[in-house]
Amino acid sequence: MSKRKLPLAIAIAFGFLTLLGLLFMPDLSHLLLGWAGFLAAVALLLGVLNLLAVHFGRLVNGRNVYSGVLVLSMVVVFGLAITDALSITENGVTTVFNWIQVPLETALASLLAFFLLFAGFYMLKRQRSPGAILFLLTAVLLLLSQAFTATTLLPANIRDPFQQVQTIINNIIVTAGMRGLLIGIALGAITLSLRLLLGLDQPYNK
Amino acid sequence: MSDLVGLLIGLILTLFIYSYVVGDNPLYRLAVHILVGVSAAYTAVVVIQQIIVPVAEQIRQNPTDRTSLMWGVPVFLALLLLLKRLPSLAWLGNNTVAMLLGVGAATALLGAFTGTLWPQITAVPGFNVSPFQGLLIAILTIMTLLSFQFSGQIKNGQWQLSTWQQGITQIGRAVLMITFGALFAALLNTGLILLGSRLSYYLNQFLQQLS
Repeated sequence: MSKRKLPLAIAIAFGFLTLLGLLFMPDLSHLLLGWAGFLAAVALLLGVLNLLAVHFGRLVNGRNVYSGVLVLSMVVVFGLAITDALSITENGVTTVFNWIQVPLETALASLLAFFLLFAGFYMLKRQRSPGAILFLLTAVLLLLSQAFTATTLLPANIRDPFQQVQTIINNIIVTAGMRGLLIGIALGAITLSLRLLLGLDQPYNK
Repeated sequence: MSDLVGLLIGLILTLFIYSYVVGDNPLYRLAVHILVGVSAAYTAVVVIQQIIVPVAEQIRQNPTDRTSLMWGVPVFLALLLLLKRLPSLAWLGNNTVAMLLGVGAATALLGAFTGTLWPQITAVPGFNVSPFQGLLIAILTIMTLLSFQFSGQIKNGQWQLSTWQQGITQIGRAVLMITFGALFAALLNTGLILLGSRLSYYLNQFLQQLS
């Protein structure tokens, strides 16, 4: 069997066995999904090691400070994992997670507000198409109506129309738009999966 | 004392990240590289502890057990994956990737059908809708789907959508723009709430430490 046909045969065989297992034989699907989970874990580990190797190379060859910081961060976490396992330290990895990763991730997520605001202004400046105007009009209207709903300082005759428009937009237009998008995504995923299962797409042979 | 150290480290890193508001700068890049390094290593540690070690323990304790022998298949495929580093034997690693894609495609196929497509077609909205509103939602959903249409007829040597297709496409795209606008507003709100809660968290913690 050639170098290209063996992976094709494996993909199709494992694909149909998994499909069979998920539909009729839970034990088989459990086994195959366990194997796939294990292999995905190994692939992820190799990816992390590759990241470490690439940045170590940049540190040594290019004297890149940022790569040095990245390598040091990784080495510290790996070191703490080893000392935790040897009971030299206690919850070292969890402490790093709570002290460093959680604040950084939360800060990045909260920075989303700034990113979105900048993106909105850029859009208004550069692309004044009917679609862009509709997009921003909806966003401003919903933000205003949410702000008005939250306050009791405004009289009801000002708040209520905003509330009604918000309800109509959310309950009808956004429901339809989201449903259309989700159905489109599902149809795309099904098409791609079928192409992989039938061997029409062979990304593993590239 | 250790709480205060953790709090200070967190605050400094948070300020590094927020420094991006004035533009891309070395402090922001430093913080992002720390985040990438720590999160990648943390993920690797969790994967080793939760997935690799239990399998290794199972094989070590009962090497001749049927379950342990069955693990030989993925272990063999994992070894093939390692060969991808060697150019002459890299093609062997494709078999492992093919297995992963085969299993993934089958799972995605059923997941997309039973988890998204069928529920979205059959589900009734969680709020009270009149028959007219239900019909309107159905029509707008179909128009949204039809707006992703990029094939038409050749007229005057150019691909063109027919008039009715153009009308539907414009309505569908308007629905999409309104949806994206609503999502944008929701995300912006979430971001602002997160920003506020983060700032109030640090303020409260420092006030507690001071008192």
